[in-house]
Amino acid sequence: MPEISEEQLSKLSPEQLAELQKQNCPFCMIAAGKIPAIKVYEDNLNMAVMDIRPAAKGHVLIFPKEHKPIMPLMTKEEINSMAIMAKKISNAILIGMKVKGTTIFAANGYAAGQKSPHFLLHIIPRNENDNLFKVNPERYSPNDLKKLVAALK
Amino acid sequence: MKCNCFNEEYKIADYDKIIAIIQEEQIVPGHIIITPKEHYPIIEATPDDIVALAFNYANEFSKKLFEKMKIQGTNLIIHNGFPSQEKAHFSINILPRRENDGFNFDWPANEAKQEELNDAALFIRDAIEKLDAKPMKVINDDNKEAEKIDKFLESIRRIP
Repeated sequence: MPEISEEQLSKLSPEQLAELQKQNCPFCMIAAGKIPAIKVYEDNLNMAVMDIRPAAKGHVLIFPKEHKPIMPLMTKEEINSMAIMAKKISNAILIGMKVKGTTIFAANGYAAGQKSPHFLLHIIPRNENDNLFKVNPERYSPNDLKKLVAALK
Repeated sequence: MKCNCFNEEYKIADYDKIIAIIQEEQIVPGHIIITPKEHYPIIEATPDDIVALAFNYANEFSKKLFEKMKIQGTNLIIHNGFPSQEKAHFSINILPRRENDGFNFDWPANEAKQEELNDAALFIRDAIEKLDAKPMKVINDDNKEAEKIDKFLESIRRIP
């Protein structure tokens, strides 16, 4: 893979940058069969593979075969297919891994914890005391909630 | 909504079969739920078309959040059963995120052994096959089907 200098990068157009990202994207390479992956399911738009750095045994990733960095850039059809695949994989995990729950998780953007250049939907088997998705929710007052509703309507 | 799972006072949008509602217990400020009006406890019990609609509206709403709030990211989370699902009503959580907002859903990303991954994949693929399997054709109780098959088999046995 040829090294590209910062200077050269800055001279590329947005289209050329997108193309470069796509060429170096490990998930695009998996979709194209250029690098190996343990596939569990696919349809014409999306693919499901085992996550090699799993949060738990049986952690599956679903991603579009086309290069899409975030979900807002996916088409309705890609999302329909992904949704139905997520339901199927979650069900299969409950049965196959004999767990009592799953969590379906996605991160859009670096600030949300996105680690890959390609949009990924995680289907994670859950176990007691797995230390995943621990949260400290804040209970808002009805007044504050009503202000939020007004702001977002 | 027929069930009492959510307080409709905090509804922000109504998409006919799906609604967007402010979550009373906010994980991050601006925490919103996308959920079907019809009561389905978990994703597995929700019809495919409703799941697809919910995902698409969750996506549309995330885009809307990017425009309305100054955020740099969103998380979509569906808790399905044990241990994190709090309300037994299928819903998608949308969490608006900002850089350095102090929230972190990361997990230790240790590389798993190839054997473990292959084993898990076998169980999952097997389960998918069972879920996808078409129902077997049942022969009628009055055995008319069975008779037809028997006669056919006999007829072909007679051919020299």
